[in-house]
Amino acid sequence: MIERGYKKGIYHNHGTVNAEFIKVGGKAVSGAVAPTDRWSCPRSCPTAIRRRKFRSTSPSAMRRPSAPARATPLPATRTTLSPGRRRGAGGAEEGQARQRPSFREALRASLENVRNVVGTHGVYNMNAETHNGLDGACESASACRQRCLAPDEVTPDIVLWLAQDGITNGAIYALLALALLLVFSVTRIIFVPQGEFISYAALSLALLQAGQVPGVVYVLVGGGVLAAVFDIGTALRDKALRRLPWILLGTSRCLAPWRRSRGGRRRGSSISSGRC
Amino acid sequence: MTDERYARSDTSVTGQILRLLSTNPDAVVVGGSGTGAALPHVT
Repeated sequence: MIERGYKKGIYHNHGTVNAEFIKVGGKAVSGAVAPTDRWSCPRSCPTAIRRRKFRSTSPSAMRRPSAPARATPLPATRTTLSPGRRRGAGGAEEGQARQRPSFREALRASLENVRNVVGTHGVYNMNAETHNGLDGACESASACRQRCLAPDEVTPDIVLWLAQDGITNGAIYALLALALLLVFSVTRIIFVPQGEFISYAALSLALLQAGQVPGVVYVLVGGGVLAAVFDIGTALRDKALRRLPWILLGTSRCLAPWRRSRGGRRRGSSISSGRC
Repeated sequence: MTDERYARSDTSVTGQILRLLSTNPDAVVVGGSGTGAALPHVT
C-alpha cells in the first residue's frame, strides 16, 4: 500500500503486532498504528530499552497478575443477563431492559472498569479516558517503537545473528561437499542422492523440534540389534565367548581393528573387523 | 467508505488494495494479526 503511494494512517486492532507481523512486514509496517505492548518488541530491540520495558511487567507477572482479574459486575441489571432468566415470559421485558440507556451506561462503565485482564500483548486496564487498555509503557518509549520497526538499523545483535546464520549455513554446505568428496574419492562414483540426506536431516530436526520422534529411530535401533546378532553368531562360531560382553556393549566392531593390531590376527577376526 | 476482505491464508491482497486505493481513503483499518495483518503494508 505504501509503495503504491498511500501515505495516510493504517490502523490495526489489538493483538496484531507479533513477530510474524514484523518479519513479514519488515520496513513496510513502520508507522503502523496498533494497540500493543512491550511484548511486541522483537529481540533486536536495544537491550537497555528492552530491560526497562520488561522490568515493570515481566512475563511471569503477566501469567499470574498480583491482583486477580476483576470486572465490576453490572449493578442492577446483571440478573437480566443470567441464562436462567433468559427464557420464558421475561424475554420481551429483558430485551427492553437492554435497550434502556441506563443499561447501556452500566455496561459501558463495567467494560471501562476492566482491571488486570491478561491478554496476548499485555495486561489490560481500561478506563473512561482511554479504551486502549494498555499502560502505554511502550508508547512512552517511542524510541523503542521506532527502533523495533526499523529493520534498516543494524545493531550488534543483528550482526551477531547474521554471522551465526552464515556459519551455520556454511557448515551445512561444507559438510555436504566433504561427504560428496569422501564417497567419490573412494568409489569414483558421484553420489547423487547426497542431497536427500540433507533434506532428510532437516526434516528429522523439524520433527524433533515439533516434539515428535522420527520413525527412523526404529531403523537405527533395529540395525544395531541386527549387527549385534551377526557379531554374536560370528563369536559363537569362532568359540570366542570373551567377545560377547563387548558385543553386548556395542563396541565389538569398533574395537576389532584395535585388537587385531594389538594381538595379531585372530581366528576369523577378519570377518567382523574394520567396519566401525 | 469501502470494505475489502481477504482470508487468513491469502498470500496476496493486491486486488483488494487496488480497489481500496481507488477510493482514495483517509484512513485504513486492518483487522487481523500477524502475517495477514502485514500483507496490506507490503502489497
